[in-house]
Amino acid sequence: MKQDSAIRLILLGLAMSSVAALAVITLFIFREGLPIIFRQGPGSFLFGSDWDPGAEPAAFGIFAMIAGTFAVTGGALLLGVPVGLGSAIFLSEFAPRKVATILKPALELLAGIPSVVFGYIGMLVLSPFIRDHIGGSGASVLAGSAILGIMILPTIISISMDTLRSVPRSYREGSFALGATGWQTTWKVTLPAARSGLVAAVILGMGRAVGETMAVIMVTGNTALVPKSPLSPARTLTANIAMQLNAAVGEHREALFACGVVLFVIIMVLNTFANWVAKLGKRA
Amino acid sequence: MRNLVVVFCVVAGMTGLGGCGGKASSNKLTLAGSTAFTPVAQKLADAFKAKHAGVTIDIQSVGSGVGIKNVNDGIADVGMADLPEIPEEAKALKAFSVSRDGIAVVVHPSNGVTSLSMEQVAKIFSGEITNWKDVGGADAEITVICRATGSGSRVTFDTLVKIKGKVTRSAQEQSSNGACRGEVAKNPKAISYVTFVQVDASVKALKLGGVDPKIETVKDGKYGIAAIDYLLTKGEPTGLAKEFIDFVMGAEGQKIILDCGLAPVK
Repeated sequence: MKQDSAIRLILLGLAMSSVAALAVITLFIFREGLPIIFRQGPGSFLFGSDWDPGAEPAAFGIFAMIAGTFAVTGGALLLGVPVGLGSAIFLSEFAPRKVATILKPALELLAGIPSVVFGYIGMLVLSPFIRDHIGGSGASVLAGSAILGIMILPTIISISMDTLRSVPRSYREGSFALGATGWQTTWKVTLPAARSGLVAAVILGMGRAVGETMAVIMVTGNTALVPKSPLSPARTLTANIAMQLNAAVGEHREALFACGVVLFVIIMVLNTFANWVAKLGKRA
Repeated sequence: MRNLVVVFCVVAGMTGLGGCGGKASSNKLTLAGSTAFTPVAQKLADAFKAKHAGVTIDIQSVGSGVGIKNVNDGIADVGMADLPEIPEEAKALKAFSVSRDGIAVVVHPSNGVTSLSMEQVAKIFSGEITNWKDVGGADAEITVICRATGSGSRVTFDTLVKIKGKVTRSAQEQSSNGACRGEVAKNPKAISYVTFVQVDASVKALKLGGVDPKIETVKDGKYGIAAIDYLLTKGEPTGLAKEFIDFVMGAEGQKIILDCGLAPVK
């Protein structure tokens, strides 16, 4: 009994340490980043289109980076969601056991590839291809979206598969008993039952795309302008922070932390929304 | 990846975890600053250590701005900065100019342009000239690639080309010399700038106002874009810091600097 409670205390401490880390990080980012947002006014910080820390006076408007982040992420979802959901449905509903045993580890391997490797391939293969065959300078939203679309696949597929697998067997059996085909069962019974989990999978994939840094820096060209087309270069919030923190001092550094605040809020909203949707499904 | 490490160090440093900060002690020297000067500093440190047994030298490649800040804060013993002049925030520090580092304007090897005037370079990077045909090249839109705001090379380039705060908004940005070179090597329409050491066969370095980009032309001041490499200390250097700076300024140190492709000051 005594031993039990000691171990419980230790485990509680360990569990709290990750929460404590989150609390410290949150506190720190907000303490460093919030003052400049309010000094300058949230409107002009969020929607100002000029980012020029070198000018006098320096301009800190991050609208171009917010637009860049969402453009690249949106493109990644266009590519990653159909492929990801399709793969998950195939793997959990239709794939023969043999195929699944090959595909599942392959996907886990994909998740383990470091992002700098994705970026490197994008830089050497993808962006020259885009420049030579589609147009523009190659460093573009399209290149970033394509790379991110692949990078979010493991997230989307593994969460979707878990959701699909947790749909009770009896649902499918009931559908088959009524004479429905495999696809009819999937489309009319399994997918609707798993809907909330699938939405959560997409949202978490989106969060992954918003937060990715290295691969994006390497392929998007990092121009601080609102992208006009998929072939325009763009700069994301994460890229802005990673590229400039090296040499940023004073207000410039504060402004980069403020970018961190914005990112933090975006991710928090996405995760909360994903949790909420997932819970909604469980109650229904 | 280096950026992430830096981010971590900065975060750790500021939250008082102090992960990366070195404390000054009698046989340990901490250098911090310019990414461009880091490889040279590494060579200098190796030679210095060979002569002084038991000495450790820790070199942190964090960028000129953070290097200056770290010396000011006492986190580093010696700062390294490559800048056109001593900036305001470093005025209180003791600065030693140890070498000059030329910055070459580079284009794709297939580009027909071989020489630009300083004025043409300024107009291209400020967005007034946007087509290669206006400077004697093919009819193609120019892709301007520059270093991220705050990089020493960027500050030097913008200051000496006189385009501070006027760099075109449509410029792409890369976080290192190597990345700039890589982009130019792939893109026939691109223009960028890298330090002389970084120039290789994958890109073509242009003449600037008819002057070849060479160590000799930087040394005699004919070549217009060159940073000064500074070593900085808080107050007069003492102990190991003084010995190291004396070594760098001495014949042996200056020879290493020349071998690295920089123009020695002596």
